Amino acid sequence: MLNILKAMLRQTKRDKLLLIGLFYFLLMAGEMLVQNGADWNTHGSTVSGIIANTLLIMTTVVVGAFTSRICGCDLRDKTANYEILFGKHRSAVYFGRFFAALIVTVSVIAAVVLIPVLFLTAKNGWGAAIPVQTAWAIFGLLIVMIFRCVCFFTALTFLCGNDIVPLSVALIGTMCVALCVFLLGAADIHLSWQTTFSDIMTLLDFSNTTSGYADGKDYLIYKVALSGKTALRMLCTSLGFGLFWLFGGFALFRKKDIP
Amino acid sequence: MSEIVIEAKELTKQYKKQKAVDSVSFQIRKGMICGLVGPNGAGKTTIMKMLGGLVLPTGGSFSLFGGSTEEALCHARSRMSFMIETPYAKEEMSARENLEKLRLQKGIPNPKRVDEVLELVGLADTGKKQVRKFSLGMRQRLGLAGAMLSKPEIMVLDEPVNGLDPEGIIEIREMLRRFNEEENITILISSHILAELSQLCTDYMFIRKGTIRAFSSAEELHKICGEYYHIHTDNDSVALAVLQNKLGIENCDVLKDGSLRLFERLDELPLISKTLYENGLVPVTLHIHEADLESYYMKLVGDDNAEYSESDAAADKA
Repeated sequence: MLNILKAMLRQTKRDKLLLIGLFYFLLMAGEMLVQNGADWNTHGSTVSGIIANTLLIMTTVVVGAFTSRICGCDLRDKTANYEILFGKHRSAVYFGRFFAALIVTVSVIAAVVLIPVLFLTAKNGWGAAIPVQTAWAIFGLLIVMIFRCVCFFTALTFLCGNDIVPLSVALIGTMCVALCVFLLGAADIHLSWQTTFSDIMTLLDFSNTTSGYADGKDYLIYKVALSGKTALRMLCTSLGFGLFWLFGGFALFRKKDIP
Repeated sequence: MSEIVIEAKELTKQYKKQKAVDSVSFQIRKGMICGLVGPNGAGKTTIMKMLGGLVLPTGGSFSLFGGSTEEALCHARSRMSFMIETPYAKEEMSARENLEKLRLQKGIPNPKRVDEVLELVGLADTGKKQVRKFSLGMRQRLGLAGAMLSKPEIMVLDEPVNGLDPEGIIEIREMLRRFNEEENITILISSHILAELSQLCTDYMFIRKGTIRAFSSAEELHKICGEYYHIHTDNDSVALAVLQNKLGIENCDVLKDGSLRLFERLDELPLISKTLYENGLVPVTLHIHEADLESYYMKLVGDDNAEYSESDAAADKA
């Protein structure tokens, strides 16, 4: 499995489509930061909220796209078939790609979050927009949700046997859930969806703000509605469903004829 | 007798409405070049995919190097190589980059092995040329290079000469013969064209509609389909002795009805007739039987209406 993981990471570095997607994602994230008021003098805590709002919709799209590309590209052109013909267990084929997708997606999201936050914190300090512990807790939960998302798209990609269908699901699924949440929210109907898409949106919703005053200055403060109970529910749901998708997908792939 | 490296027992693959492979049993021994011959849709690729682990059998079993558990089969496949349907290649990468990726996936530690196999198949000069610009023959050679990367003990090749021109076919054939003779690699090769394999294989399996119709060694096939004299005299046993003693003929056999088949000295009919006559024998039948690979193939696997019975097989072998 380690050999497959190494080969996949090597291939990912050379995948032009992924590199273009990554560049576009970084560009969009940077543009959203600037558009939402971040500048060189913004505190780390403030920019963390801005980034969270940026990632609200994009996380599932990016994670779904990267996972489907990493797992599905070799399925579509049948190069993954050769791993089985080489004598690799189907588990190595499946989990090797899963771990490659997990490493890449977590790295990309972490880079988008941590680089501006750590840079601006070092320059301007953390600030008071959100407590540090809360920010780290949200980031930690985000990683777990990315795990769930990667598990889902890995299973879907291996069942479909290509990268196109899961990519479409990532794009369309996210938009549909976002639209439903928006429309229902407008009608003042709040549902507990607990889907991969909606949990990430709930976690990264930093749109509720208030202001505080200290040292003669006004400060932006984020009202993060993340109770301990909600965080625990999100953690358990993400891990539980993630493992369900991951091993369920493998159980089906194991018995599947590969075209 | 050499060891059995591939063995199938009642191997079956049933799809929803169709049995692609129906209770197939065979053995392949080390050092063989075994041709799996049959028309399109006969089940050749399905058998190879089952051996390779891409398709799971619905009945029967098979073993590779004597092992039939999942662990044993995975380990056995690491000692084999497969080229099934389209050879592996990423279009946007060069031959070297493709093989390098394969090398990493297979866990082959020596990076120089890529250069060795490129040299072996004649693709060492392709440089950075992308595979999308390769001819069909070059792609087939790249596929073979990938198959040779891990120095396999068995190669399973699905129609490797499909679509190649005659020169390409000869090239691939010579390469495979070299692999078998120099590296003692056992080869299972499929084709729907018997003539392509007739100069390469040591043994043949004929398959039609998912069932094995016949097994033949190359020698038997040559006897059945090759050119020979059919001789029938008023005393065939004496005729056999005369041909052997007077003319030194060794390559001949006796059919069930006592008549003789002669496989050598086919351009010396006048001498043979004269010798028989001088020894008091009257030739009743003396005619040349033309090489007829195609008819034999069609009788076995080609015609839906002609059932090939056991008596047909016995008659052909006799």
